[in-house]
Formats: sequence, C-alpha cells, structure tokens
Amino acid sequence: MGLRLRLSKQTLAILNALLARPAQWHHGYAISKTTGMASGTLYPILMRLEKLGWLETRWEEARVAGRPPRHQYRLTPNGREWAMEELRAARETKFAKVAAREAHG
Amino acid sequence: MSTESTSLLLQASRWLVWKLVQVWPADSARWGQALAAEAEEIQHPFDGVRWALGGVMVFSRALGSHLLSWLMLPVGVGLKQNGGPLTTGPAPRLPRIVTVALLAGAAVLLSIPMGREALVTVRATWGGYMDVSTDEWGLDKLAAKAQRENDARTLAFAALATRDATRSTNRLERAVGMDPSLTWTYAARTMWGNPNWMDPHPEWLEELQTADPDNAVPYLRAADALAWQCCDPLRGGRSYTENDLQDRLAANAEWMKLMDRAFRAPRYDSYIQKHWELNREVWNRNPQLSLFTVLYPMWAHNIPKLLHVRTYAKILIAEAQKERAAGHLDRATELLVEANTLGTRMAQPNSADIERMVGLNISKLALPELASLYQTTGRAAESQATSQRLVVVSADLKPGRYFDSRPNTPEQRALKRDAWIVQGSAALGAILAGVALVSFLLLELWPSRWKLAGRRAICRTADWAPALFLLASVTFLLAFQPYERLLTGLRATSSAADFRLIDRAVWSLVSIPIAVLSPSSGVAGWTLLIAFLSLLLVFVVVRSVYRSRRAAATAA
Repeated sequence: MGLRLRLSKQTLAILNALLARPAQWHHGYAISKTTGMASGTLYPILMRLEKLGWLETRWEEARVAGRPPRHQYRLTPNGREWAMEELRAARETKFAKVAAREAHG
Repeated sequence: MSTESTSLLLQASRWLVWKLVQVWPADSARWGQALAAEAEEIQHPFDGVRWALGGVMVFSRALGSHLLSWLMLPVGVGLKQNGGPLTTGPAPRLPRIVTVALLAGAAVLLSIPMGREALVTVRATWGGYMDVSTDEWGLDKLAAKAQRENDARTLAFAALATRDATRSTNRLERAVGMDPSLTWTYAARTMWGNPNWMDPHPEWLEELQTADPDNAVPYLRAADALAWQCCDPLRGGRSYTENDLQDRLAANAEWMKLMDRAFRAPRYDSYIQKHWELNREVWNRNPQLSLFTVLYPMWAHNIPKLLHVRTYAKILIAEAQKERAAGHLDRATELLVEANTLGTRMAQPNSADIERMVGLNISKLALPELASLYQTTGRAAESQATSQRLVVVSADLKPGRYFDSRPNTPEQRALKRDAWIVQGSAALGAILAGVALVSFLLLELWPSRWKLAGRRAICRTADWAPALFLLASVTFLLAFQPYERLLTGLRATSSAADFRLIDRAVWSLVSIPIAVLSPSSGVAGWTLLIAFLSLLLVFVVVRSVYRSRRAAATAA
C-alpha cells in the first residue's frame, strides 16, 4: 500500500467517528468534538488517511456570508472496509487482553 | 471572563492561525486553510486557543516535512505545489542534504579547538606578520581589562605588543608604576618605525640603571642614546665609515665611560628570557591571542646596538695592542679579558642569535691576542686554554649556523613539507568554499537563467566543490598537527633558547606566504603565464596552417 499507518488509539477513534455515519461528510471541528482530540493530533492523522487513499475531502461553501469555505471529510469505500476490519481486529485484541488479565487475575 | 476579553482571545487565536496560513508550505497549504476555516466556527475562547496551538503544531510538522522534501532535492531544484521536483534544466546529482552534510562536516572540523587555532595561525601568516597580526583591537581590550584588574604583567605585555607609540608608552609607565620589577620592559620596547633605538625618555634610562645596576644592558642603552646624538650615521643623512665612527665614539668621554661600565658589569641580559616568560604567561591565560601577537614582539624585542658594542671591543683590543707594544702586559691582558668576557656573556643560550653572533665575534677578535699574550708572559696553560676556546668559538661561528632558515635536518624538511601542505590546502579550501557558495547562489537564486553548457558546469561544481572542500579541510588539519604540537611545546617552554628553536620551526609556515607574495614570485608567475600563452598561440597557428593545407590538398 505504500505508506504504513500506525494504528494508534487516536486513529481508531477517528475511524470510529467517521464510521458512525459513513456516507455523511464531516467537518474537522465536529470530529474533534466527538473524539476529544486537539487539532494538532487530528489533522496529521486526517492528512495521512488522505495520502493512503482512505479519506476523501471536499470544500463546502460557507453557510454564513464572509466566512471561508470549510473542509469536509468522509471515508472512501476502500477506507470504510479497511476501517471496519481494523476496528474489529482492535476489539478482538482488546477482549483477548481483558480475558487474559481476568484469567491471571 | 468579560465578553470583550473573550472576544479578544478568540480573535487572537484566529489571527494566529490565519498568519500561519500565509506562510504555510504550498504542498499542504489547503490543510492550513481547512484548519483556519474551522477556527472561525469555534465560539468558546479556550477551544479557540487550543485549536490555534494545535495549528502551530500542524504547521511545524508541515514545515519540517516540506524542508525535508526540499533537502532531498539537489541544489537549484524547487518543490511544486504537489511536492514534486520543479526543475528548469540540468541539475546537480547530489541532494541538498548530502551537500549540507559535507559542508557541515567541514565546518565542524574547522571549529574544533585545533581547527580554530590552525585557521587563526594560517590567516595571520597571510595577513603579513609585520602588519595585521598584532591584533590591536584585541590588545586594547586586554589592556583595558588589565588596568581594571590592576594586572601589571598583562598590561606590560599589551604595551610591548602595541605598535602605537603613545599607547605603548602610557601602558608601559602604568605597568611599571604598578609593579617596579617590570622596569626591564623599558629596555625591551621597540620603537616602531623610529630610527632612534631609544625612546626620548631619559628618565627610563636612569630607572633601568638603578633597577639593574649589575647588568651591562642598561649602560649600553644609555650609551646608544648618547651615540645617537653625536654620531649615528642615520641622523641627518650623514654617512661614516666604520673607522670614522670608531674615532668619533672614542673621542666621546661620556660614551666611553658608559661602555666601560657595561663591559665591566657582571652580567649581560637583554631581557629576552624575561620577555618570553611574560609573553608565555599572558598567552596561556588568554589563549584567544593569535600566535603572531605573541611572537612578533619577541622578533622585534629591542637589544643594544651591537655595532657600538663591537666598536668598543675593537677600541679595547686596539688599546691592548698599544699597551702591549709599550710593555704594559698586565694592562693589555686586562683589556683583552674585559673584551672577551663581555663577548662570552653575550653568547649565552638565552641571548638573541645576533647577540650571540656578535659576542662570539668579539671573542674571536680578542682571543688570538690574548693567547699570544699569555704565551709571551710564560702562561702556557692559559694560552692553550685560550686557543682551545678560540677553536670552539670559531666552530660556533660557522657559516649557516645562525639565520639559516633553510631546512637542514630531516625533521625540518618534514616540517617544511607539512607547511606547504597546510598552506596549499588552506588556499584550496578557501577557493573551493567560495566556488561552492557561488555555484549554490547561482542555482538557487537564478535557476533558469543559464545556458545549457554553463548550467552543466555550475551543476558539476555544485556536486564536487563541497566534497573537495571537506577533503581539503581534513588534509589541512592533518598537516597542521605537527605545528599544533609545536605550539603546545611553545606554550609549555619557559626557556628563551627553546622558544627560539620552536619559533624557527614555526617560521617555515610563515615563509611560504612571503615566498609566494614576493616580487620574484610575481615575476616567475608572469613569466610562466606568458610562456603558456605563447605556446598556446604557436599551437593555434600551427594547427590552422595544417588544416588549411589539408583542405587545399583535399580540394585539389
């Protein structure tokens, strides 16, 4: 695929937020409010997702006159598939770790 | 928080983000704009500040990424908006990052202590050891600091190294006022550009004699001042033969009295040892002083006028011959011993080479007479000892033993070879650095200006010059190592005799710019150039004739 993406907790949280309404376009600030992430963390991940081809972007004309157009994001079809797979794998890993802790505990 | 300050905080956050957008790298500018557009939607002030600070982080990362992409491209190649290379013709092969690494490597090497010392030393040799190297500005600072701290010895050093006569005099008098044991510095000071060897400060002469009554040198200096008044050939454009001078000086009773006191004094010390100890002490406390700020005052250290010393010795010997002819053998012996004794004292290891040479010369004049006198008076053992001493003195006066700067030993020849490599690599390095800089500027500032052949030449230069500069820097430092050891030895030695040996070795470094910049080098250079151009002209003419004949033959 070219650029490898490290699946941090923050990346998974963003994927989760985008998958909540996969067909809908999301604004950056909205994703930030949903995930609780600062712009300094959010935007580098969005930039990397776009470079991988899993995120598509567009400019939306401003609803209020005098304001600049806003950037919107949503997962591509490939991106949705990949995101669902990764989130499932992450959940399974998390459950396995919890089970292992309970077994030892 | 009031509505006004809330509004100000939000406005400031938005202002910051939009400012970042103005300087955002082109390849990711739309992300900056996206971030800034979102900032307009934020109403809560702290959210706005947090958003703006996040924007600063994103901007820094974008800038770093842009810079890295730019560095991975060769010099003269820009970045397109999509991050790809923007070329306007042939480009160098090496990416900027390699070029920067090569230049940084050279810069690191030249900035280590040995590198800095090597650069300062070599620069000073090309600056002209008689002129620029004394570092007057640095000496002014040193003198000011010494006065504030009541450091008489450092002030005396600055006074002796300063070439401005007025400042030198003031500093010297202050230093001696603080520490009277520095009175000897009055004798050591050179009068820059002044044919009078003694400063017109008669009180200094008296102070010298009072401070060091057993030393011949203060009396010799007083005698020199007197001789300058009555008899110096340089004064008033007169010229004398040596015999004329001898007669004029011998007729001056005051001069004769001073010289007599000098020749009878128990010691001869022109203070070279003390001067070197002072210089070394200050140099070790102030390592930023250039080598030649420390060495040049030693080279210019003032000593008594040796012509006068030799003249008086000849007067004594002539007087001894008269006394011998008159049958006053004891008196004749006394006079010859007096002459020989001063000669021997002058020839000690810590004296300057010229002092030793003149001292030995005086002994060489007196000893044959003395040996003969001893023989006549039946003192065979003393006569034999005197003759043996004469053999030693004659051997010491062999031609080439003094002032011979040619490398005579394997070590000296190795140093001379290293000196050429040091100077050559320094000059080459300077040229390569300049050439590299010019080629970078031409490619970066005017990338599309050059015709194809010219651009290719500039690109090749940009590729090779940094690597060659690094190589020249490494060669420079390796070749300088023997000199670094010499300088370490120079700082460590307190003996003026050892100083002279090391100083003579360092001279091999100084002699190269002198040889290159000398008039004969200029003549040789022009001769070579004319010869080369003449050969080129002959070649072009012969080739044209040959071609035209061949063309004519083909046509026929």
